[in-house]
Amino acid sequence: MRDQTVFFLLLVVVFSLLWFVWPWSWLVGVFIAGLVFLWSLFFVSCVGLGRGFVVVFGLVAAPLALAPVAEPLFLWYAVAPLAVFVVLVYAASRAYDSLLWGFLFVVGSLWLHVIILVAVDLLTGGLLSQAFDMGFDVYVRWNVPLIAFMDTFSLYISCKAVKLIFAYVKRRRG
Amino acid sequence: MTSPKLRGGSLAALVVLVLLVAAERVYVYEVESDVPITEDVPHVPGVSWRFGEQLLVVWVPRDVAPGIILFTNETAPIPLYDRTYFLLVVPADARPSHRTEAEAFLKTPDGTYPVVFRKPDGGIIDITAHSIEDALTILKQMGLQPEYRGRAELIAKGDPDAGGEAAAPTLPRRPSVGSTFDVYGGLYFRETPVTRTGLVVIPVRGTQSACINVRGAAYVGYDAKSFALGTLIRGGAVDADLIVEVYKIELLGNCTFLGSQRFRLANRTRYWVSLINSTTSVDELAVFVMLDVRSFSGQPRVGVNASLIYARTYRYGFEVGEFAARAAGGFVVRREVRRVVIGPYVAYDGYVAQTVSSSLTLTLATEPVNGVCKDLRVRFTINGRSPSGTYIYRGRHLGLCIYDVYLPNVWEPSFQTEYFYAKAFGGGLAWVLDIEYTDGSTPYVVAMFLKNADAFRYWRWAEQWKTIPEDIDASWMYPFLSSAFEIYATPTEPIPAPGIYHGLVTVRTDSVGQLFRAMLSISGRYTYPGLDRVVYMKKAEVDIAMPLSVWGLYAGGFYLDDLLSSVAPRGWVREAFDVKRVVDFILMLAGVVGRVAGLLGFATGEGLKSAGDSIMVQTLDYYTARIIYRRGWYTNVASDTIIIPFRTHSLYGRDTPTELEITRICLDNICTNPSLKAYVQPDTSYIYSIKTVHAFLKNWMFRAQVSGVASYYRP
Repeated sequence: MRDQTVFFLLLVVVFSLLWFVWPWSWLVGVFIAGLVFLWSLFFVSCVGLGRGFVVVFGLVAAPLALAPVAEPLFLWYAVAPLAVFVVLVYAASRAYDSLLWGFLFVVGSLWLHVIILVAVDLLTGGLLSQAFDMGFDVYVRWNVPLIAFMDTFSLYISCKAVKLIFAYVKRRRG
Repeated sequence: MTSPKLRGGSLAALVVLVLLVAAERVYVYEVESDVPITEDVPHVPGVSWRFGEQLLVVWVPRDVAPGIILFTNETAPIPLYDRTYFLLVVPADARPSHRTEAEAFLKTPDGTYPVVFRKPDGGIIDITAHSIEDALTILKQMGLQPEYRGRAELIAKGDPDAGGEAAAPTLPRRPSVGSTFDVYGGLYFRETPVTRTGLVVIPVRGTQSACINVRGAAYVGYDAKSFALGTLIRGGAVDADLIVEVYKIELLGNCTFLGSQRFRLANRTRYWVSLINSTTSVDELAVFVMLDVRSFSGQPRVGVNASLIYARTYRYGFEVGEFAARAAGGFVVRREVRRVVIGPYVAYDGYVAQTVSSSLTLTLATEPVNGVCKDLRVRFTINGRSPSGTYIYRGRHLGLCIYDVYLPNVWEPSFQTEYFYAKAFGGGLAWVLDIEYTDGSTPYVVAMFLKNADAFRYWRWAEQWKTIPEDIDASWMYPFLSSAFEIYATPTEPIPAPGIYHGLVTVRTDSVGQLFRAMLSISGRYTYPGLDRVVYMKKAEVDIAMPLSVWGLYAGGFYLDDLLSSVAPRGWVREAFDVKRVVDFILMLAGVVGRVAGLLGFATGEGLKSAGDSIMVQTLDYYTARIIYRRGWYTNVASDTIIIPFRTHSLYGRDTPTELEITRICLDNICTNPSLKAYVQPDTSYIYSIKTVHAFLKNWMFRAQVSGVASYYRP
């Protein structure tokens, strides 16, 4: 596939569709780990994916799956977003040769994607809010694939947009 | 603990027994009666034997046929009894007197006997047997020498159908404040092993005795009109007398002996305890049960339960609650069946007479016979004993024959009879449908579908204490009234397995001065009988409406274990929530706040949130709130029941009762709109009289005998 990011976008969405049949048991941890892993690869692929990142994100996601068998790992559910964020900033700063630019890239993409999500939410009469509020439910399953698709899709647009903006700014600066 | 009066009594009884040792010859007739028999049993005037003038009634099934039972979703042979078909046991040398006016005549091959009906002289209301052979065995165990003498007829003089099949259906009515009515309920005793001869006490279930000086006595209370005991013997045989002692409860909880009755113990037998009646229960009564065992074989266990009828006046507007039992879903049958058993449901105590209703609706799909849909005759019976109408349904030919079966009403006298009968054995309620084509052949039922509608619904009474006209008894400080909803349903999702869902929701209004104002209990489980597997409820939603604001409704959550431990994140999951707050703060400083983290934040945040069990409250509108229970994906609590006490600001400072209505219940993915009512008592303007003796003795109501005070454990 030409665009690696599109490949991971599809991977996230296809994986999220498994939620429809995923059993409500400790295996939910595995699902969450898978989702976090693929989403992280998807995002990082926007700035450049290396093998190292696959390993790192694998290590970041694994404790989420293992928490039900080693309970203290539930703490990782709290810490994992921060860890992913740090790695993403690191990856972006490698691409833009500066920690500040890397940080701005990640935060900028996330903010822009949430603006798109809000717009979609407004257009659909609060469908996305409803999906987010539902959380993980044993019987209501449609929300997770929807969120996965909308989130990755909007993030794809936003990260590409931020990339263009950054390229433009860099050109202007010479 | 036995009474001192007992030794003298048992000695006298022993003498009587010695006189009765020689087995008495009796004739057994298979009787077709045009009078349905209940607690008024046939007596032959002038006859004198060990049961006085009474004849013994022994129920045997009219027939046994294959049926499907909802409870297990399996087929099994189902007996059908009939209150006009039974065995009558007559002493062989019966010499009737013809001087008394007979109400009916018993025509037997050995002659005709005049018969009158009244409560049993000899105490035995009836015996239930599986077959005629079984009946003869039971009679032999009672020291009789039975001889089957063939068929007989019991023919009533005058109007034969009075109170029977021709009883006009009465419309169920809701109790109104100021009205007086009959209330039916039960008493429960502990199943007791017989391991020695002599006196064996059968204590009341629960930990509280009604009498300080008689351990194991059961509370009866005031204004009891009728009292019947039922016996069940398992695991062996016992030759014993059943002794029932009746006590008056004095002011401080000490009891004084009023009298005792002694019966010959027999299995599956009901006894009439005439000592408890409207006259004696002007006083507050208690009852004590024991056996006087002569011999036993095997390892017998004797179970005793009792049914009661009280007179009650509805005074305050919060002494009643509602009970509704439902069935829903589709059942694949694929075989010839003659019976459909819908139930059994819990026969909740406190049935208020004249209030039962049903809207039982089901669709039966049968295989056409030679391409034709024959007319289907459905006979509705309560517990497979008393009738509630016979109807003929025409089939629609849609490949299969489709019959829309609907029960227009419940026959109140039948319901009262069967409720009273069932409670004597601690039993429940069920509809047993006898189905056949009008030509008498048996239908091949492919499937049946039960519409989500009431199988039974009635009002239930809360207490058995006499209310003081001006005040409220102190016992109301801890009322134990619950409105209850019970459902059987088949699962369609996620697994269409040969299982059955059983759910129960109760609303118990809490007493004044407690931490909460009402308490919800929710139970649910899938049972897969064939697979020997049970899956506990994963999610429940209950919508509660009240004529007040539900703003600020707060709900707790507890598991039904010994401590009522709290439904809250525990262990490392709980720690993770604290850490999450710190991490979220750091991320917020970095500009990643709330949904900005998108799927990443959603997956980890919601993943953590849904790991443990949770209780949530949603406000649907000004008057309605939804309480949601979710079982976490990491939760391993082995409990199918959650207790959810709740309160709102608006429920405090009330000087009139408040009506709560459960408008919607979803247990797992089975949803229903039961419109179940419960009443919260006022918490102001009421004076409590000091009458604390039995404040804690809530032995009558829900889940047998328990103290009505719940305690909360806060970790």
